[in-house]
Formats: sequence, C-alpha cells, structure tokens
Amino acid sequence: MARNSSAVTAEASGQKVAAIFSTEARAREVAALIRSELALGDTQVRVVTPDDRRPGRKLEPESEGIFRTMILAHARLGALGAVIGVVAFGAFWLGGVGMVVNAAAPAAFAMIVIGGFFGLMAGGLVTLRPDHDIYINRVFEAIGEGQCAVVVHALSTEQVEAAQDKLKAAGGEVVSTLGA
Amino acid sequence: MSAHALPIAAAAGPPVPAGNRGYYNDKVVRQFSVMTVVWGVVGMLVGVYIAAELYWPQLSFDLPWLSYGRLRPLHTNAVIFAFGGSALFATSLHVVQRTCHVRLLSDKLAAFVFWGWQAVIVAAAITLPLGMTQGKEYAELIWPIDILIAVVWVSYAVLFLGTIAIRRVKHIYVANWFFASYIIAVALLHIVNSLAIPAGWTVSYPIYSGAVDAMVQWWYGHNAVGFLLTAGFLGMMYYFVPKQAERPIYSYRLSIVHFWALIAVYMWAGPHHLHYTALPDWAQSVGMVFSLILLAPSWGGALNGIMTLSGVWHKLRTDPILKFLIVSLSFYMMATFEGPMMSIKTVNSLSHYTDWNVGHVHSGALGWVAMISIGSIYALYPRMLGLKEMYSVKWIDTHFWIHTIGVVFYIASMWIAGVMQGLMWRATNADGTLTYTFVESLIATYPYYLGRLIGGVIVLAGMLLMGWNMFCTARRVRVIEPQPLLAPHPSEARA
Repeated sequence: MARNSSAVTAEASGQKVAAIFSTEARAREVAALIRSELALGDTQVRVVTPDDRRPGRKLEPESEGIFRTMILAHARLGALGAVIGVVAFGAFWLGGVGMVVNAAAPAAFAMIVIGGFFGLMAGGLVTLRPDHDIYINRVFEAIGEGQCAVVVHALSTEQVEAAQDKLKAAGGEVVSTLGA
Repeated sequence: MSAHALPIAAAAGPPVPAGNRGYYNDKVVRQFSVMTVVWGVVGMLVGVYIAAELYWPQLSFDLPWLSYGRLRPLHTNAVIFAFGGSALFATSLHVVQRTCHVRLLSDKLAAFVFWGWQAVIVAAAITLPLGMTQGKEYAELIWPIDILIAVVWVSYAVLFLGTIAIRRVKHIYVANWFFASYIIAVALLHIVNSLAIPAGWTVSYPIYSGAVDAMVQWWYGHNAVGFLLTAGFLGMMYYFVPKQAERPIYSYRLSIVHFWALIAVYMWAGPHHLHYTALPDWAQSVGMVFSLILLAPSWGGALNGIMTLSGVWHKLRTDPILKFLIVSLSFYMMATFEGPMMSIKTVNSLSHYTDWNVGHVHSGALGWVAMISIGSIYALYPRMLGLKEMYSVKWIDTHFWIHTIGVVFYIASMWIAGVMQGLMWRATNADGTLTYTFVESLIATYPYYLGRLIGGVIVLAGMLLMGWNMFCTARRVRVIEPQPLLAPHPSEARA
C-alpha cells in the first residue's frame, strides 16, 4: 500500500468506505466489481460477513500502522502543544500580563507542560479516530442482523470518491470515515 | 512469556469439587458490580452539586448539611470508597476465583463483606452531612464507623487471601499480587491512621499530635492513592486488559518487577503533601525524591498494559471496552508524570493549594480509576449473567466518548484555573505587597468553575447511560445459572 501524506498518522489507508448488503453473494459480487473496475488489491477490498470470527481485523487491518500512529501522533502533537505553550507564554509576556511578567519562569514552565498535555490528548484522539466509530458500529450492527458489508481501504481521495460512487450504484448503504 | 503468564484459560485437569463448591460465587460479584454504578452515580451527583455550589453559592440554601464543607467529604468518600471500593471488591473477588479455580473461601463471609461495606457507606452518607467528622481528609469518618471499616476490611482480607490459600493452581497470578498488596496495605493504613481516643460516640482525639499527626495522615492519604487507587486498579488492569484483548500480558517479568518497585517506593512519598509546612525540611525532600522515583514503576505498569495490545492494535478502535481500559492507562501515565513533577518543591510552590491539584486528582480519578473500573465492569457484568456482552455495545462506545469529553473538560478547566491562581497569588509589586487580592483570583476563577461543572455533568450523564445499559442487560436474563469451576491445566494444578 502507498504511504499516506498525513503528518500525524502512519497508516497507509487514510480513509475507509463501507457499504451494507443484505446477502453475502451480492456483497462478494460488488467487491469483485470494485476490485476490477478500480484496480484495487484484495487487501484493500474486503467482505465482512456474520460468520467472520474477527471482523475487527477486516475493518482496521493495519494493526502495526495504528501502533505507529499512536507513537507519531503523541510525539508530534505533544511537541506541538508544548510549542503552543511557548507561544502563549510569549503572547502574555509581551502583552504585559502582570502575573506572567512577575513570575516568568514558573509561568513559562506551566504553560509548556500544560500545552504538552493538551497536545498528548490530541494525539490520543488521532490514535482512536472517533470518525471511524460510525463506520465500525454500522458494520457491526449490520453483521449482527445477518447482513454483509463490503469494506474499501482507500489510499487516495480519488479512490474514496470512486468507491463511494460504485457502492451507491450497486445499491449499498454507504458509510465513510473522514480523510487523512 | 512465562508458562505461568496467563492461567486464565481453562483446560483439562483434576475433577472439580462436587455440590455448591463446584461453582463460582458470582452473586457477591454481581452485587458489587451493580453497587459500583449506583454509588458512582450518587458520588458523582454529589460532586456535580458541590461544583455547582462553587459557581452558585446560594445553592447551599443556608442549610448546614448542604454546605460545601460537609458535602465535599461525602463526595470524596462516595467516589473513592463506595464507587471505587465496590469496583475493587467486585473485580478482586471475581479474579481470585477465576485465576485460582476455586469458589470463594466462604459464602457467609462474602455476604458479610458486601452488606458490611454497604453499611459503612450508608453510615458515611448520614454522618458526614450532619457534620460528624474527624477532620482528616479521606479519613473523615467517626470512630464507630472506623471500627466497622476495620472489621469488614479484615474479613475481606481473610476472604481474599483465604481463597488464594485454597487455590487449585500452583501459581498466583500477578493480578492477585496487586489485589493482595492493596488489601493488606489499606488495612494497615486505615488502622494506624485511625487510632484515636474516643470522647463520646461521635467525637475522638487522635493519638498523634502536631507534625507527627500530619505526617501519619499523609502517609495514609498518599498511600490510599498508592494502594487503593493504584495497586488495586492495576490488579484490575492485569486481568481485564489481557482478557479483553485475548493476548498474554506483554511482559510478565516487568509486571513482577514494577510490582515490587511500586510497593517499595510508594510508602515514602506521602510528605510531598506537606511541602512548605512545619514538617522537617529533610522529610519533605525525602517525600519529593521518592515521588520522583515513582515515575519509573508507574510507567512500567502502564506500558506493560498498553503493549499487551501488541498485534491487536485494531481493537483500540473496534472494542469500546478496550478503549476504556487503554485510555485509562494513558490518563494513568499522564497523572503519574504530573504527580512527581508537582512534588518537586519548586513546582509545588506554584501548584500547592490551587485548583491544579484538583485537575491532577481528577485526571487520576476520572481518567484512570473511573475508566479502568467502567471498562472492567462492562467486561465482567454480562459474563456474570451468563451473557456474551452488554445489552448495547454501541452505548458503551457512546459512554466512552461522553466520559472522555467530560474528563477533558474538567481537567482542562482546573489546570488553567490552577496555574492562574498560582501565578496571581505569588505576584508582588515592587514594594513587596501582593499584586492581586485573593478575591480577585477567585473572581478570575469563576468561568473555570463553570467549565468544571459542565465537565462533571457530562461524566455523570455517561454514568447514567451505563446504569441504563446494565439494567437492560439484566432484564434479558430470567434465571441466572451458576457457572461451574473450570479445572486448571494439569501442568498448573496444585497437588
């Protein structure tokens, strides 16, 4: 898989598209169509069925990529948060805010630390990807009801749009994650 | 991984005992699980109320038993000992049975521990608003209740350690080491710190005085954090993270090393609560140094838990129970970085007595303790009813995000408020007078008190959703079948 362009994620597929179909046969037929018409590999287009023992792996196949995202997002966003803390301190200091000017070193320290904490929490958000929840929950719900899903792990915006069009045209109920 | 690393799974082994002894005692686990959520809602509701009082002081209605000073200890006792305590009772009594492959030592003792603990909580809920207190933070309860706590706790120790003694496997799984240390340490801390001479049914005088009394109190106070709020919940982590991830612990060796390091170091860190007080300066420095050392075992445990997901990182996104468990560990790492940092005397001169402490405590309490408890109860409760999962897994996911947003709102408000207070209080003019009055700092804090209140309301809403999910889950079961003991693997079986 090609590498994505995001500075804070390390997964090849930045965006995912899924479509729900009532039968496995129809889902497999649509998956084959998507693979051939969009020239996508088997690992990029998966069919999730109620019989799958580990459907989560098909929905989020890049286990090591998620681990690397966790490290990268925390390191970079934690550092960015600390830098924002420095900038905030500079703004208060230059603005002549009494309590900051009066105790410059403690103020700078506290703002850098707390800025870093905010950055780390943002790193956690990127790792967990709340935008994936709708996609994951909908597929789990569908297989719980005996339906099947075609899942596309897109490598580019073009692939996302093309997959969405094809899946909609095939009559599937489509859900997508956000980009990056 | 050691061959002993995960004696959770069952395999063929010696026959299980016949009759009632052939089944696990899940009743007491279910009871404590339900009360975890009940007391969680009650404790957090009181927290929300007193947070509202700080923003709208008129909410006390001039009634002494609704005053902040009386309800604040009710909130802390309810969330720490009622909510956190019930979660620890539920999980420890579940884990010890499953990992030792035996029923609890005694059903009667188990019932006594449950009802005794509920009696303690109800007694606290009556006496604290009435203003009956010893005046020691986190040890406010009057001496008759202290005696009841000691009796119930020693019974709990006999029940837990007695069950380990009759185990059918050679090995004592690491979670039980953590639970055992928390049970023994809390008994020691509670009894020593509560030693007092009664002067009536509701009044007593501590046997210690002056700086020694303060030292004993914070030896108790910090080790309540170290053993009840850390070691106990690490026990929970060491069972439920591998169980839910379906993976062995990342490093069993690390779990043992950080266990001994943690319990050896924690006992000495209490004096950091007494920086810049009448406590001898050398004792304050000892507390600071041991607090800094604590970072290593704390992070060792957290990383061990997080790295247990090696190979199944996708579950971090697809399993909401694991989200609770793993994110709790990230809050644990943040709080155990922040704590040692705040124990440095220079940093403490800025943070002490400010709302930064409140933010720090709640990143540990709501982030670490509550999230690991919630995740564990979500994993445990349906199994205790013979079900595969909760009524709605989607609601667990919703709860996760509600809780996370609430915690972040809360701690962000308190961090900013605390740093601002610290800076305002220390600011001086050229002539040495204070730049800001205390009231000015209080007025500046108001918006953040509203932010904290909103965060608390969001967290409480999540707990109500959890309660409803548990109710719906329980309603699906007409008859609860007892679960038979699983035989240990022959290579693990005890002669």
